[in-house]
Amino acid sequence: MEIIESKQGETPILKVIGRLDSKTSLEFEKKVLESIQNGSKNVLIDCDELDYISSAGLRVLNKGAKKLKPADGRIILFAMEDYIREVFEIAGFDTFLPIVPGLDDALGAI
Amino acid sequence: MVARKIQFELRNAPSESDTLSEKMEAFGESLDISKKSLFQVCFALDELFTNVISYGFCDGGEHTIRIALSLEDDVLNIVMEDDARPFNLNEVEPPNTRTPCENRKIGGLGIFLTKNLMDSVDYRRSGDKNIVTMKKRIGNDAEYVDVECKQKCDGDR
Repeated sequence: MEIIESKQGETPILKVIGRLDSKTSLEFEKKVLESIQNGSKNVLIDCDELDYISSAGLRVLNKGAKKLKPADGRIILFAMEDYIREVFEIAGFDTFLPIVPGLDDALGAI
Repeated sequence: MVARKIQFELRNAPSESDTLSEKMEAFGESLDISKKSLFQVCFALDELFTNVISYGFCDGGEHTIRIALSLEDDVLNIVMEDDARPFNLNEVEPPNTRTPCENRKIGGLGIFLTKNLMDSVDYRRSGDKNIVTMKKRIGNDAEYVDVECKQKCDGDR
């Protein structure tokens, strides 16, 4: 897995490339928590090149969403494959993690 | 000749989840399994494997996890066998998927998703072995239909 960090204004974007599984979720968690600790209200996750997510990856997103919630911030995911989205839906994670088509939609949602 | 069966062994080490995904990818490609079906089967096996190596062994020793897949018509039969302590995944309580994120208990999520993504998941204990058998009807990319249409078709059944 590789994570490319960028920013749109004040909002950090983490692009996750490859597999987000039990082995790589710790590194991902570190990046998500760093973004939150740096004071960002929202964090965007670019899933365009995300090939795989396991329950360990879902756990990190849940943890991040929980940390952002008191300040009304959110983790917003975009450009996700349908079959990965389905896992979010079955888990009920789509109720607190917005999944939108593209970057513009994500920026519009914050 | 296209391999319609595959069998391999993994050690109880976290790095073996990469071996698992490589084996599955090669198998999926050789049989032209859709990305979606392959993802779902990989997800199920990865969750079960991660579960057993994380919680199944208490002796610190090396163990072998055996995985076998065979495709009959469009149904993939998946068997995972290990000698970890007994663990019946059908006795795991499902998480409440309607709970807001701050109150979520995350344990059991991987098993819950696995059961939802597979068509059937059965468990039996045989001697000192856990044997999990799963079935999944798979598609190939050529017959991929958009989700809305599929849901409608499924609803009509």
